[in-house]
Amino acid sequence: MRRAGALLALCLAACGPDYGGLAIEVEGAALPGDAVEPRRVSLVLGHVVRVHARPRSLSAQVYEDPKRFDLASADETIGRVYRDAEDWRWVIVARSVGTTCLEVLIDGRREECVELEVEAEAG
Amino acid sequence: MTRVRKRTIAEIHESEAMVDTHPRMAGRLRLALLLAPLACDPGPAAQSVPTMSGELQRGEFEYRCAGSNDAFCQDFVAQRFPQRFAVGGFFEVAFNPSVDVVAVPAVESSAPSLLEPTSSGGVSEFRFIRPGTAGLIAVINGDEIVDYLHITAERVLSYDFSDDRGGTALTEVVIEPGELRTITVEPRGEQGQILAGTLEYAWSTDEAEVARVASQTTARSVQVQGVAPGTTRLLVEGGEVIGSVQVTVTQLDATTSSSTTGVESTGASSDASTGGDSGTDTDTDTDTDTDTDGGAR
Repeated sequence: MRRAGALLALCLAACGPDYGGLAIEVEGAALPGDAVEPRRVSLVLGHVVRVHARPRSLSAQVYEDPKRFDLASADETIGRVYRDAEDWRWVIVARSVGTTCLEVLIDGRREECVELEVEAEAG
Repeated sequence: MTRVRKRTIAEIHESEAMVDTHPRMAGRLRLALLLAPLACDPGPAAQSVPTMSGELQRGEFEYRCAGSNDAFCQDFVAQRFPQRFAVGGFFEVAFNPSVDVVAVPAVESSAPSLLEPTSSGGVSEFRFIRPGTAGLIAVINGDEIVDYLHITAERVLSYDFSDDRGGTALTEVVIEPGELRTITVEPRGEQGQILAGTLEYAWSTDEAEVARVASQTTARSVQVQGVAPGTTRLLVEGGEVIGSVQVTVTQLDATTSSSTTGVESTGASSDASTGGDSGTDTDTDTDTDTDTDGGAR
């Protein structure tokens, strides 16, 4: 019985999606000075950007349930992340100058830290 | 302000169902539904509040006057949604969702260090602390975003002067001793556009023995009074920049039918380059940096 349970758990783990990074891009046009890349998000202070973000999977299984996936800022005084009403969409707000972590969470577990940098407006 | 509440799909279905099951009520209900919007009609005398669609197209941001000193406002009603805001100018914003939401969204600032919320009570009031672009965010319960809108602020670079005789873009005001003239100022930005927001103004004249400020006020309009023949400057300070217009007080017997002139366009750089003491200009003695570096101070 134990063996069967272990086998089942192993199978489920092997058959599920395997985190392989974050696919993220700006919805619409980015404001001047803003850059959104899979490893780094850089925004000008005060700017707000809506992104389409979804975890990539290394296995054949993809992440299908948006509720299992979360994006969260490690320091909400620097950047704040809001879940949008549309699936896989997020709104990132550059609140104060600094650098923090945009945490990629799947089932509450931290998979990756995407650098979130908020820069002062040039000039 | 009048808001027309949108009926939810459930309410529409409910009323349709009632019509089907209660034929007697059908006529009354239809009549009531037809008359309902009329009851909310503000009428021709009412002015609508200017709005701007949110960038997610889920509602409209309303611009409201925070005071009478806003060049975008007349009798506390904004004429249109501003394109540019004056650093230091107070203004109010509300949000009307066009989608179903569970609560009335509050409007917040994306970056309080840039766009400072100064709200008191339930009104969302803001002012820019320095030039830049910030987002107005419509949020429910503090953590659910509905929509947002970016707005931009500049420092005031120059002023446009007008008077109560219809003169605009004034460079000179000509009055007689004892005569009162009301002068109104509009703050202008880098491209010469009017900047929104309620600012406080300080008025003075260079030589009070020629002309004096007759109304001690921090308003956008002031009364200047001729004292004795001569020439002086009427100075205004608001938004950290000083502007001026020449005031010429003529002899009483040299009365002219049109005592107001003014055709030159304003613009701190052009006026400063000529070094002219006359005309509408930004005081380059104290604000050279502001004029040349685009406002960063």
